[in-house]
Amino acid sequence: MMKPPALLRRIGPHIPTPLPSLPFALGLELARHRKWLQPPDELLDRRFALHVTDLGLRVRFTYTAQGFRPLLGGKEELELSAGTADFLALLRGTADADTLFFQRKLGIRGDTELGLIVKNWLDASERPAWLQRLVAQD
Amino acid sequence: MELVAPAGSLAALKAALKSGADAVYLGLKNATNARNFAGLNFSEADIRAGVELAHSQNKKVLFAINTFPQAGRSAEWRAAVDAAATLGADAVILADPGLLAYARDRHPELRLHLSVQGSATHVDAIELMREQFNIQRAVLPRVLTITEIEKLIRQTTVEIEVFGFGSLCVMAEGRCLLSSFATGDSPNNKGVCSPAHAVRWEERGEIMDARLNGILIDRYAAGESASYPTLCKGRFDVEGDIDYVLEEPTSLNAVPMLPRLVEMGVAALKVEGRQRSPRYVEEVIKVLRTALDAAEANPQRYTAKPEWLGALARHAEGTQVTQGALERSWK
Repeated sequence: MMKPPALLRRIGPHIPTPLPSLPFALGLELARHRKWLQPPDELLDRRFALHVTDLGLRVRFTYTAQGFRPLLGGKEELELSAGTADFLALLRGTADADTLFFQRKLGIRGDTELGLIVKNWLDASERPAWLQRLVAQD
Repeated sequence: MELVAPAGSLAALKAALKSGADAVYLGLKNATNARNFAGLNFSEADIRAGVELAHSQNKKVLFAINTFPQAGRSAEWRAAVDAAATLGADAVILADPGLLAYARDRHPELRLHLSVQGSATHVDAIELMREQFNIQRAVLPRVLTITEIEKLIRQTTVEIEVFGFGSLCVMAEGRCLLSSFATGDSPNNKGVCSPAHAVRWEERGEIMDARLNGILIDRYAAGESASYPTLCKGRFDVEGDIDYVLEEPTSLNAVPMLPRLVEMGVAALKVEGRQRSPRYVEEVIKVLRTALDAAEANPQRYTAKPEWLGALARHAEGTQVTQGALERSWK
């Protein structure tokens, strides 16, 4: 299993949540503009957090009519937690979320129904060709 | 033997076909099927694309319309049968006798499969369904031993489909009231047990609690495998002992028994898991395709290879598998 660099693991827990949230939301927004991510309407105005456990890093964001934005105030409705490698595997479509959950590698806190919408949306999304090529090279 | 794969999305359907499934089963985005989960299932456009792709490969698409109509809303269930016929279904999987009668009368050309939710466990029930509705296949509830299945096949002309892999159910299929006891929603007519809106996971350090509408149904210790948050698989305090009361979270795995199932004339092998990802479908169907081909080619020399069993165990609920009722010694 791929491990993140030691330096990142050391400094991750000390990085304030808003700091990585901005570039992360920008990344999601870029993916949305490129049509790699096409979120369903059910995600509109909902508030999310991701906790990358091995880095100790948290990002918070929301999805609005204007697109993905960092979440700077208020409480998230759904938090998903997993290690870097497992998050990447979910993003690439090379892992099954239920399998990771059974193995306690994927945590879910908050609105379970919202979590299910996110999971099923990602499952139904065809990965872009470049991502599939990247997976094939692994 | 036909290998029947689950598909909760077009991506999963494609993964199933690519991995060697002979047929896929799917549902519409409503309560007419038993996996009515938020964000899951097919739009009509996706079904059209999926049916076209499957038929171009001479493979089949089966429509699960296997819940029981809610009072006063049977028109929605009849509309689902009409949609399946219009969209090119190779068969509909039904449980409700009223809906079976509707499909027989309105769409006489449509193949009818009796769903596992129909809970037909003996030859009289299956023959009655054949006589009344001309069902062509029955999916057996996961309560029968392999000997009982063999005997049943000899006594009916209806094709028999059995489960080969996937999460188990409390086996009161089509009649389970556990979920509605806790949440007010029944799998029988809402298509979902433990609806997600009623489920909460609470973590305290390494310990995780599963709550269903506030009721504590399980508590997982640090590192302990988790399961779906259903009452039937919960652990409860009974006279001082905290343990599984109804059943353990585990997945059925019939791979070691494939030659026997082939030999006795089982028509189709079903994989559970429309709620799972395309990755699950791909990996599980690949293993079952390989195993089934081996069992059909040379049943005498067949052995379930450790790598097949390992791949399946990774995806199992509770990360453990069983041969369930198939190998049960008691009756």
